[in-house]
Amino acid sequence: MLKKTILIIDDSETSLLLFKSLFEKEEVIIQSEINSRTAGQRIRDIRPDLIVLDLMMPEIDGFQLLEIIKEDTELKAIPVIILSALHDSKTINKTIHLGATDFIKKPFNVNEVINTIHNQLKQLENKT
Amino acid sequence: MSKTKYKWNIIHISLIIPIVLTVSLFVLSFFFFVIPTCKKIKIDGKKEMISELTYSVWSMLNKYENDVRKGLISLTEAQNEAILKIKYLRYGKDQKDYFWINDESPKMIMHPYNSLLDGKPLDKLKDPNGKNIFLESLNIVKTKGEGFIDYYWQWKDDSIRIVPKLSFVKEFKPWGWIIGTGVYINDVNDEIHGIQRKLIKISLVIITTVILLLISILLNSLRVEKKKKVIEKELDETRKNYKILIDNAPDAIVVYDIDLNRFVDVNPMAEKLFGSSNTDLLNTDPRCFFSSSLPENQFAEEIKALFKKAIKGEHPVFDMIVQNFSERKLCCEIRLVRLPNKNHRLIRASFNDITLRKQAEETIKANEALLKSLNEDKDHFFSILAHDLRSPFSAIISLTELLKKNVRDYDIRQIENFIHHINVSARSTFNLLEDLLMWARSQSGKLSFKPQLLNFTEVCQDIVSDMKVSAETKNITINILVTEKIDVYADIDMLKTILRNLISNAIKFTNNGGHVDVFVRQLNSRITISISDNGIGIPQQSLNKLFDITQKHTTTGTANETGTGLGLLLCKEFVEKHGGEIWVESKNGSDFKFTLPTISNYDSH
Repeated sequence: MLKKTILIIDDSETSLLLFKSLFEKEEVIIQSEINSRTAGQRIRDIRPDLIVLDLMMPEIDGFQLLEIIKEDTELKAIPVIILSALHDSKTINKTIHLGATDFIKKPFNVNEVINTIHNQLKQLENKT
Repeated sequence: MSKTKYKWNIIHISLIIPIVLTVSLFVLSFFFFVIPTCKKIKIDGKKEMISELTYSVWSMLNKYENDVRKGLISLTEAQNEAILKIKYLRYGKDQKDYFWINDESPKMIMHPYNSLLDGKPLDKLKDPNGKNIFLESLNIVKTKGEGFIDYYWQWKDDSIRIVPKLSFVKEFKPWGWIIGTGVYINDVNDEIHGIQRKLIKISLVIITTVILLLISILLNSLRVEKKKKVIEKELDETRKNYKILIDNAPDAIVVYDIDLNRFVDVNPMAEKLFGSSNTDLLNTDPRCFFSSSLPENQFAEEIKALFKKAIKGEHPVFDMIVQNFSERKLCCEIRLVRLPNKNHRLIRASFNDITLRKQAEETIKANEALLKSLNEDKDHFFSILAHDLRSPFSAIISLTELLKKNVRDYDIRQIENFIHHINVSARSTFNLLEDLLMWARSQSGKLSFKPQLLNFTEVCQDIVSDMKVSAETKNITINILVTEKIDVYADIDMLKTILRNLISNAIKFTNNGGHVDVFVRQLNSRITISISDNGIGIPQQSLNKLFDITQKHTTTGTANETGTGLGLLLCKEFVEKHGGEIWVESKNGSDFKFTLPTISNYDSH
């Protein structure tokens, strides 16, 4: 079975380090992107199975990026999980409305994040 | 009072004069027309009667003459028989009227009441007025064949009582006779008096009825007049009260005549509102007072529609700009009401000056919008703040959790990396907290402001040495390009916060190996401090947003340093507290500049 690719897009180096460390023992490929401006092209290049997206980023924020993904016919099928410290109900609703699959609030419990990602990957497998 | 009396006299004259005239005319026409006419008719009747009777007698004589001609009777016999028959013919009242016969000599042939005259010549017989009756009769029949004659004659056979008489005389040619008969004028007069009495009685009844009717009308008129006076008095009082109400109304009130296109009445408040005297207002085209943002035609149509509504009996209320004689523009709430008038379409317009209310409403609206916007800004700001506080904590928590779980599996390089990130996150949180506390104190007014004369170079060097570690991490050089001692009059804590934030930002947005320069220029009693770098600079569109709380956003430095931009807000507030200005220029890198006083030339804030 092919390993699933997860792309994490976050402007914080710490967050990227954390995410890589979380999944280093899992059967997945973790790719990271720190620059939201080039994130769109990166998605097109690697075609990840799952995207974990931060919201508060300079230049192009997570909302805009989510919109770009969901408006692109080739990318819109990729599930996007939002990972953000900005988690008021207005923000959560907005991301769901834009097409986000799930929302993980920061600070998070490491096991909870692993479970959420696993569930999502399982669903993807079932689909295929 | 005299006016009332004058009115009263007019009423009397207008009612009484026709009454008196009517009655007088009636009486005059009665005596000068009705009675004489009756008399004439009566006399004409009598005349007709005596002439007809004479014709009858004449016919009788003619029959005898025919008999004579036929030879049935001799002339003498016929004449004697005729005289005998005529002598006893009587008619009229008391059967006293009679016929007489005389010939053309003239000689009396037969007189029923005065037989002494029979056979006697009559040419010298005159009445008391000297009228020669029989000669005149002869003259009449000779010229016209018959005719009337009036004269005085004795009453029947009473030779003493001489009365006026009217007689008809006719010639019977075959025998040369003149037949006459007459009526006593007194009899005619008696009959006329009888009629006159009856007419007078009827007239009296008519006049009395008319007078009674007129009196009743007069009394009614007086009653109506009295009532009218009471109503007039009430109307006058109502009018006065209305005038008082209008004159003392708090609103400006005008009466507008649509047909004449002008004001026909204005109250004192209207004079005040339009800034003009009553006369000027009444002689000015009202259209010049009103203005609208609408095109002229559309505005005129709108006004027309409002007047139409008022004419229909509705009370349209609307706001409009009124420009008075002093060119002052007022916002007025205008209410239109139609006034009843037979000849003109009158509209009463009341103006309530709501300029202040409108201004207050506008201010409230603006404040409401401002408050809403401020609230939204505050929510936005706090959500960013919450995010920026959660993010480093989230990193610390998650990293320590992972460390706790896998510490034995990680090599020393991994552990060092984790600790470095934990340290960066903790430092970032601490800086943010520092700024936040400072900002909170500043917002609540609890931050003390104690400006004093400071040696700028010394303060600047202190800050630069504090930031040395973070600058060295990125291999950045900080140059203080100040050669001489420069004094500044400032609060030391605030000045340090400003310098720390601006230098820290410069380091944050400058790439590895870059440099940050601090430069000071003095002009009169102010110094301009410039903190420039050769870093990534700021996009042109973001320059205006840097000092705006509504535009705050997480920013990441060249080494992914985080920050809320709260520091710049603090810088702006503190600089302004010193009466200075802060701005940024960006070309090759960024250049933040701010001014501060060198002497105490401002009031303490």
